[in-house]
Amino acid sequence: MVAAKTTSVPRSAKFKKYLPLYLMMLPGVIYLIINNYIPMAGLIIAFKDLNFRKGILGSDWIGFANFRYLFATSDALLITRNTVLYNVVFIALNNFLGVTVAILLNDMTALKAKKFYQSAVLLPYLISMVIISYLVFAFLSNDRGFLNRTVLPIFGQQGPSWYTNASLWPPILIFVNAWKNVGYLCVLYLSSILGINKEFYEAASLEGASKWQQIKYITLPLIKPTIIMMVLIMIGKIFYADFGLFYHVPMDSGALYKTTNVIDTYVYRGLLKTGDVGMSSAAGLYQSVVGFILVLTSNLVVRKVSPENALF
Amino acid sequence: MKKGLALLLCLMMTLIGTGLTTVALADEEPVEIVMGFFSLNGVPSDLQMVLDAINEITIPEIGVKLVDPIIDNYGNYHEQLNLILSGNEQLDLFMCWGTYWLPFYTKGQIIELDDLLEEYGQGIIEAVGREWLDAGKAGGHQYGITTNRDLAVTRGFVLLKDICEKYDIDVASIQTLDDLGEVFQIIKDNEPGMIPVSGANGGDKLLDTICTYDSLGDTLGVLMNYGEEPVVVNYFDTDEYEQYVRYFHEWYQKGYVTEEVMTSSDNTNPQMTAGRLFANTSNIKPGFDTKQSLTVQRDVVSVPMVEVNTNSSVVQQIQWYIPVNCDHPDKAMQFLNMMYTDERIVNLLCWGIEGVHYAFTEDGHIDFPEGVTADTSGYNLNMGFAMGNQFLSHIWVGDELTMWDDLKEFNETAIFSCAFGFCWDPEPVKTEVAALNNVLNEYRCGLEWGVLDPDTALPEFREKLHAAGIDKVVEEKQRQLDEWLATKQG
Repeated sequence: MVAAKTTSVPRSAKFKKYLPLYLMMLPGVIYLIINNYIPMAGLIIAFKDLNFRKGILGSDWIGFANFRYLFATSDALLITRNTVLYNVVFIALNNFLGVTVAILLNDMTALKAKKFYQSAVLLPYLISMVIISYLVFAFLSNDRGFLNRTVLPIFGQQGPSWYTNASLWPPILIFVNAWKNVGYLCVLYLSSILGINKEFYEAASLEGASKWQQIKYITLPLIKPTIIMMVLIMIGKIFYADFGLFYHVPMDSGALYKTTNVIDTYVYRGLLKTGDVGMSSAAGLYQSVVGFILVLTSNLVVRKVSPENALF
Repeated sequence: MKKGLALLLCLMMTLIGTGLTTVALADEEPVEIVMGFFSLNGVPSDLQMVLDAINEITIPEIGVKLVDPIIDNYGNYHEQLNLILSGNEQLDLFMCWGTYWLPFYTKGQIIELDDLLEEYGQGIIEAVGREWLDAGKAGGHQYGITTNRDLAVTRGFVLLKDICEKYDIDVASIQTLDDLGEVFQIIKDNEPGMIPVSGANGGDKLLDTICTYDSLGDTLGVLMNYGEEPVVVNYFDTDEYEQYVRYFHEWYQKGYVTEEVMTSSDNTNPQMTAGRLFANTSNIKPGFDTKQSLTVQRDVVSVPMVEVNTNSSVVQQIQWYIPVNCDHPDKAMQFLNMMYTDERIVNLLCWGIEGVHYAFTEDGHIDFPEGVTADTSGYNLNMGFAMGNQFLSHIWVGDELTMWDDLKEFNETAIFSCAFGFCWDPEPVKTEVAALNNVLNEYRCGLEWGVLDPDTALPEFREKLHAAGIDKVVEEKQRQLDEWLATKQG
């Protein structure tokens, strides 16, 4: 009895103490419930043969038939491979570049130049993919592109036909993606580097630590939690592909599908004409379930390796 | 001028007439109808003005008031339509393009119109004719009502006239692809910087200008030779397909076609305007040359490559539907009926208000009124093909005054597919169709413009089609077609 009393009193005191925080959380929670949780009821559409006259609940159950087209063909393996491999490269490369650029920017002393570079790396992040696709086209177009018309002739080379050659596209897509997204990650890491107490560096340089040693033993360990968090979030999206990048940038050229077709573009092309709600929900559900499992597993791994950095 | 006066008198008389009938219907609230259609020229700024003018006619006569129509650009419209229909918002009557209506049918979002058409749509039946309306049937019931317009099709090439004259090319003598190849060779040799032929990704490809199949909706299983016999064939496996694909690859190697066709999603007309392109591909109908010359802003001449023909897909391109969302289908059908019978309604929808948006010229054409241009006009929709009975609309300057008669003749002389009125329902094989659409997207554009090498790409394409289940789709299509033929005869 006594024990129960002692535990219950601090708990309510704790609640009172954190009440303002709970209140601050409330709008966000309500938003999440309305926007992210209530619509989950609609997931049943993925298992139904939707007919609007019968209504969502009245439509016939058809089990996993809506999922079949995602696995039924020889393309299924290809699109899964493309989606996952591209994302793995994106996660590794973008985070590496993001951290590097952030550290470089942080150590710049000329304030104006620092501001300029910071905006310059962020700018591509704000440009729409459709516009980027035309920037790329300006470089790669066969008979009018900058590369084939101006750059390669200088070296006496004849340019390839970019938009019919699938094997050229993995590096192009990886480059475009990094160019577009590194700026955002860089700003994120920069802010977490700025949060590091300056005294660490002062003490280190007094002890004679080189710049490299400072980065290796102070900066990197201290922004590790941010890096891990970003990577985990990105892993959750590993089954989603940036539709703009894979659809618009290759200009939807059929000859490039081997290296540019990903789950999202496959679903779009497959259902554009039939507009089947059930099948598109199936694709969405499949992507999020796999993403969810991957986040859980990678978090589990992180917890095993360094428990203090795990998300949950 | 006389015609204008007469029309004005008519209008005044009806206005007086309205005054009388309003009294009779005054205690009945008009039913509000929301219609939906896409626009190729944005949403007109004077839309409300035109709606008011229409309502002045429809409220007293059939008790219908048009409110807040759903109008969007072609690109967004069908997506929006999907949202409205799924969200059960008010929409009473809508038009849509091509095969977009099929999912609405399979998901039960549009209603059967058989009884409504008999009861309120006699004017439609009379104007269009039952034989054409058959194209809007699915599963034995009427779902779509086609507009009265060019209901047949021929396809071919559109050439720049001044260049043809420059090299003394006798366009009338161009009959075959070989003839055309010779012309393209002349362009290639003499006009550096000008591409002989090109087109937009998604538009008619080289092969589309010459093929004669009835696509039966989606080209996954077709009827050969204008739909001569009810035998469904996998076209991509035929010798004909291989022959054409090889032929066009030769054109590509000779430089008549460039890789640009793989990436261009834009209309190629501006390139012809700029003189960068000699020819593109298009559907052709009477009056096409004059109209296309206006669009391209240069004189063009068309070369049809196939016979005038028609099938369900051609007619289904523009149809009107009534969705389940509609609370007063009878009123929607009554209004639709007016779009096929009432000259005033048709012209208001097509051209706007006389004196404000258009005016009659002396020879009976219509044109912009003085001081108004295409850019300043508050109602420049120019969508006659979609607004019910196009044959009731006035004829714009530049078109022949006999245009509607020419079009009627064009329609009547068309070769009919034996599957006319059959509607393919892909629902039972939708898994295969989704996979096949990806395969088609991957290869068709490249092969049918001749860009991809048929030696490697064609076997790949065929193999992938089989792997994705085209045989199953063809089989199912044949089954549905046989069933339809049986009920038609029985």
